[in-house]
Amino acid sequence: MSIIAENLTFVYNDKTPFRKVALDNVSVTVEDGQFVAIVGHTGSGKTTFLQHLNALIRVQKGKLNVFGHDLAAKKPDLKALRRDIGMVFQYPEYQLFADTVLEDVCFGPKNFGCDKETSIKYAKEALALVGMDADAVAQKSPFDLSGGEKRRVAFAGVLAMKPKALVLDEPTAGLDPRGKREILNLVHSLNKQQGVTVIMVSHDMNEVFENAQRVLVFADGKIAYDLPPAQLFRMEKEIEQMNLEVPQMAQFINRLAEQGFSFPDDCRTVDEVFERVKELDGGEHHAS
Amino acid sequence: MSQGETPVAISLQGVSYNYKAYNDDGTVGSVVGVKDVTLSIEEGDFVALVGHNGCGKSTLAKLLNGLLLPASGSVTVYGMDTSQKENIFEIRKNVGMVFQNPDNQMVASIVEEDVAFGPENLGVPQPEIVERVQSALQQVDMLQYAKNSPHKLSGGQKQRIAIAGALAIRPKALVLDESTAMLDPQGRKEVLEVAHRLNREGMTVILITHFMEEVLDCNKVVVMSGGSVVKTGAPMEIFADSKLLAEVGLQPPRTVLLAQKLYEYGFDVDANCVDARQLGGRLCQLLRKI
Repeated sequence: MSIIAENLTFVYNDKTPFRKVALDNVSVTVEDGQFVAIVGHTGSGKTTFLQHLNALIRVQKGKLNVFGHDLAAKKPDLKALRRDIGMVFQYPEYQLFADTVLEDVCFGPKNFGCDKETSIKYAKEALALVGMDADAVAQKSPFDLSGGEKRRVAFAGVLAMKPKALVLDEPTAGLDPRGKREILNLVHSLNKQQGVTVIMVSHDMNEVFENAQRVLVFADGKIAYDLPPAQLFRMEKEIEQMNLEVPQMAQFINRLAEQGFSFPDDCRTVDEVFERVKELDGGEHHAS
Repeated sequence: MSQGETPVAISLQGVSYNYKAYNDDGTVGSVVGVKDVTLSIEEGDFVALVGHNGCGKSTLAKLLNGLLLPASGSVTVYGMDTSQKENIFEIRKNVGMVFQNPDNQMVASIVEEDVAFGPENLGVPQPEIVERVQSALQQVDMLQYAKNSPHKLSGGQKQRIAIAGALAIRPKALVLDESTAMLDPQGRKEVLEVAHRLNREGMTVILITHFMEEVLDCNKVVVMSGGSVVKTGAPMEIFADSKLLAEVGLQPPRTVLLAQKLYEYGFDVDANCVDARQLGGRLCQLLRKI
């Protein structure tokens, strides 16, 4: 098991008039290789939870174990932890800093004590993983790349550390539709092919519905729901009460399901839904 | 559709603009920003400008109020040519702009001072500034925050303050350059509601966006690629052109995509359906008939 949180509670500005409970007794276990989406609106505790995973903020109360590192301990091995957990913040391209793409991507492995050759090897592998031609871009300035490319380089910088889990805070925000698809495909294949555990915060419910195996809905510092997307988005009323959107394909499926037309839980993309409708139709419908 | 001509707000005639680029050997070359764009935006239009990153949308936006001047061709804003220096002041009074990052657009430490920045710069007399700031904040529904500090507001609220800042100049047109890109769904909704309300009250709005769902509610869509305008039309005309969309890396909203597939397959559904629930309901009827 990669992540086990037990009764995690975090309070900002305790004992002041600005006291705010950001996490309230959160317990959750994430298994190796899962693709978990975290949703909930601004102020629901999502980011505070993410920051715990990488020990950017320390456990105040409760227990947290991340890949065997006890983060409630007095002195957890932060360096080892941060190699295991690759954190990609919002707009990671703003954190690019080096003169060349290769130097930027090498920064992580170098910092973790790899020698030069190994760092370069890891960096090139990481660039290949994110779909970039390492030889072509290695010596370019990262600032000469397009928005989507910059973000992929920033991803590569994290992947070069060979993390066991990727923690992503809104990885597709601000990208054009093509850039979004590229990033999601990348995250998907890292999860499926490399077995990387993925924890992704997203505001785009359509994206969550299509990609995640499991959705944690944060509200007021608590996990309000912890369900596979197909089950979660069946509860339209509850979702809307929390000011979240019901994904378009879920809306469609729910209408048909009410009338007894069933859809399997793994039927989530436009193409999958279309194929299922054709099945339901029995392939006999050709009048127009 | 109209009796007589709708007055043109902004028109572009064969506009090109190139950026300077420094080659590896130190020589100066150029990169296409926009290429031979001819376009006319009418008063009261709500135009969506779409296309992938680097297609020239933001360059075009900056040409609309003289932040950039065309290398060739001409941009005419309410009858004024942007290349005439003496027009620039008047043009910028007519075309307000709001950009992507809410945090980069705040200039003062109090909301009302931030909104007052524009009219102060224009030399508007003090009593009128107060009145303009009040009404601008009212228009974006932020009057109760007039005395607040902008950095404590949410992203959507900050963008509404930025819009109020533009409104205080009393423009006839508003350009929103990816102003919703960095916001959460709630913030996006707030900003779009304000934009649509202003449009209903007569404001010409030009919305640059990557969200195809936002495009649905516009009356005209301009698709750009490689610096050129490749298609102009109503949202559904654009979404129906799947070949073009694939070329420029865009996709209709999921519901429209599904409706198109079902229609092409032979189901008697509205291929332009934008409401997933409605589409689901219609399909229930069709499937039950078999």
